[in-house]
Amino acid sequence: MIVGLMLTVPYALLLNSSDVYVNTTFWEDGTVRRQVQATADRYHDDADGLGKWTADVDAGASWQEHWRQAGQTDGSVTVTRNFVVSRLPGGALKAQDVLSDPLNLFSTYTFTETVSIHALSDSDAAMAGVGRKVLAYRVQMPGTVTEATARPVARGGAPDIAGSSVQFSLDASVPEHQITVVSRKVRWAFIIIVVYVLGFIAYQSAAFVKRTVSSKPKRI
Amino acid sequence: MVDDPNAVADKSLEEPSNADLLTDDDLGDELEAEEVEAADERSRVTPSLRPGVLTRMWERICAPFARLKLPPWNLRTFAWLLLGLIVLTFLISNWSPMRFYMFGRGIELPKSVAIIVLLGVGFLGGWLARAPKPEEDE
Repeated sequence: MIVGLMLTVPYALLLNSSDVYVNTTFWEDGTVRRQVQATADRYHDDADGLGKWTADVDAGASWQEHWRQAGQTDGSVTVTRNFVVSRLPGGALKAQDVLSDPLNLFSTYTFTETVSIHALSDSDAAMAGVGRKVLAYRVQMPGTVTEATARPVARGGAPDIAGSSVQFSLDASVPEHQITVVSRKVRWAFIIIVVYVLGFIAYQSAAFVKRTVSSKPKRI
Repeated sequence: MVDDPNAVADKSLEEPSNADLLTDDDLGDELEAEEVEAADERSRVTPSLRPGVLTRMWERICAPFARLKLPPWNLRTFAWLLLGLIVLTFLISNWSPMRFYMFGRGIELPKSVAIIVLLGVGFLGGWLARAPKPEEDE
């Protein structure tokens, strides 16, 4: 059985499919949605193997969505699964928010994860190297991504950063990848509330001073 | 027949009738008449620059807003607006999805929407199960 949250990606999945995407979306409260999508080409991949592989993966809790299989018009088969959890295990997402850093205008989020590619035999890694198999690993962060690194360096070189999302092309011949993504977001809500409260205090103080000055008896 | 020359003088000494008395309504009418005259005077003056189409449209759009009277920014208004801002922030901050499951089917929706729906269901339940008003003593 393979862990439901797909922290470990089986090489069999990469071998039996033409594209494998692991999409991870974070919300600012730490909620995570992880979507795994694999597409098997009708003529070049083993579509039946994809079905067998999904049966071997732990389906998770009953309230989690099961694998969905959909046939495409070109004859390929795509299997998808969504996992929604309130928090990733091991504190994968660390947030520097209002409570921990009240004077900063930005909230900073740091996501760190080790992605393992599980090979069944020693020859799998060599085959992956020859076949140049990659795992497309996308992360959607709360806020704009400012830094994204993969160790060892992803096959595609520098990760592709676009606003709040980043994509890595992880080399399937390497068993472990260390992913780090940092993003930051302006604390609009907090700033607006603080400005509103300070504005009211200033307005009332000015009104008080004005009242005091006008009610003071003047010497004629 | 000779007219009495003092008749006019006597008449002027008579007590004034209701028609002769100057009431507040009369004063109001006079003022209104003056205003109308002044307006006529004004209307005869043609402005050298006629406002353009855009200006007139803008004035027409702004007219309802100009009549709006904002409430005073006192402690009560401040507290209500602050509460609104906090509730709005709470709803935006909790837009992450959550899943409800029953009988093999699941539905995924944002937490904020779930909170609003559950609150609405609660209020509806309370309204449906409300106790009837006691009849007033006759």
